[in-house]
Order: sequence, then C-alpha cells, then structure tokens
Amino acid sequence: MYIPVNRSTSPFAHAAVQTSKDPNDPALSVTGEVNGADIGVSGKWEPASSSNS
Amino acid sequence: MRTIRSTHRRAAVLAGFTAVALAASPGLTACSSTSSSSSAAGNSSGSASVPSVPAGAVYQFDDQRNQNTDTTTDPAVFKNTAVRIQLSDDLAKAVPAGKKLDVKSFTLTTKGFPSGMCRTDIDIEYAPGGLEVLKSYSTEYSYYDSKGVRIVKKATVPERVGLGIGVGPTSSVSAVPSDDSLKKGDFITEDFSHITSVAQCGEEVAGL
Repeated sequence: MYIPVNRSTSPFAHAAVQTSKDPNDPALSVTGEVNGADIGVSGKWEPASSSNS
Repeated sequence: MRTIRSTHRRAAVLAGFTAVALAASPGLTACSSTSSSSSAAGNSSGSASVPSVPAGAVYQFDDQRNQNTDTTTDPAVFKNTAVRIQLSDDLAKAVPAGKKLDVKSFTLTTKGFPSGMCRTDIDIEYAPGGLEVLKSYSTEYSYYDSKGVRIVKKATVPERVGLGIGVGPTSSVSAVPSDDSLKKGDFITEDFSHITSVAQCGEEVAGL
C-alpha cells in the first residue's frame, strides 16, 4: 500500500504487507520502502535528521 | 512523453491466478485472530472507529529501504495485534515541498480460517483534506493524463485511495463483508474508509 503524498500517483512511501502462511497463527509482515527520488537520496535511506541536515 | 504502466507489479503477476481464483467461500470459521471485532465485522463508518494499536505495533518506516537499491531489508513481523502504518516524523519532514499527505495512517488486522484463507481489514485514516483531494480525480490516471502522459491502464478503486492491492478485481461495497459471507477478493467501502482483502494465507495482501 502507499502512504501517498499529495495524490495517490505520487507514492512517497509504501509498504508491502503479507499474511503468515499458517491460518492458526495469523501475523502480518511489513516491508516499507520510500521513494529515493522524492527524498533526494540514491542509497539506503537514513532518517532525515542525519541525512538531510 | 513517458508511458505509465501499472505501478502494481504484483497485480500483473497474479492476473492468471485471479482468473482461476476461488469461488465464494461462505461460512468461514476463524482459527484465531489478530483483528478486533470492530474492524472485522461490519465497520463501515469511517476513520472514527479505527482500531486501537499498542505502541509497539506502529510501523513508521524506521527500517524502510530505498525501493531502487535495497532488496535485503527483513520485514517487520507483528503477531496478535493490529498494526498501524504511518510515516515517522522524520520521514514526514522529508515530504517534498509543495506536497502534503493524503493519508495519515493505515491500520491493519488479519484473521485466519481453517480453509487456509486469511482476511485482512484495512482502516484508512485520511489526513485533513486528503479524501477530498483523492475524490476530485475520477481516476488516478487522470492526474497523469493532465500531465501529458499516455495512459495504458484504467485505475481501480483502491488506486484512488493509494492502495496497491494486487490480487484481483476490487468490489465497492456498502459495508465490510462479514465472516459468514467472505469470498476471495478485495472489497472497499463506498466511503473509502475501509478495505477488506481476502486471500490465501501467506499471500501478499497489499503493496506493490
């Protein structure tokens, strides 16, 4: 899913969500991604307080 | 001129699977659940009834990856709790100038059934004015169209609210489906406040 910025067409960040395979042990796994182009980085994202200062 | 294809890679991958998807599976009985009763049974009244979430179950992209370069990040796993997905304060500060968030958070709960199916309920909490912005576009791609980009794919309902649910057609419903009437697919309430995704347990239920 997206955490949309401005419009859903500009997904600043999004998360892939998956359920566990065992229905008796339901869980959600979440992998988040951010749009490197939007935040102005080309490598792995670091918190804005350290990378964008 | 750029050409925009679906931003939902998985939707294309699963197109064949969808064609042979399970028919209606009424009368499913839950094995156990991480979902609250309010989210899983008929909650269609909007963000006001978003389930509460413990502090440890808020995912704020603190361990996120850059989508272009990093494919190694392990997922965060949440058991027996609702999960809220939202931007951290630091990431919110990095939102490009001149733009604002349409959605404040998504709150997810999941429940498994002996059949091996899982339902995932997603409550959407919009940022102030966010829903109105999204509704102002008849389709997501009308935005691209206004920018001179050729459109090759029609938008689906969840794309209008920024959700990439890729397992099949999405139905607009007046109320969240009950466990007794579940069938495989994705269902969004007419007020855009809630999505229920029903799929085989272990499948990616939302995202690219």
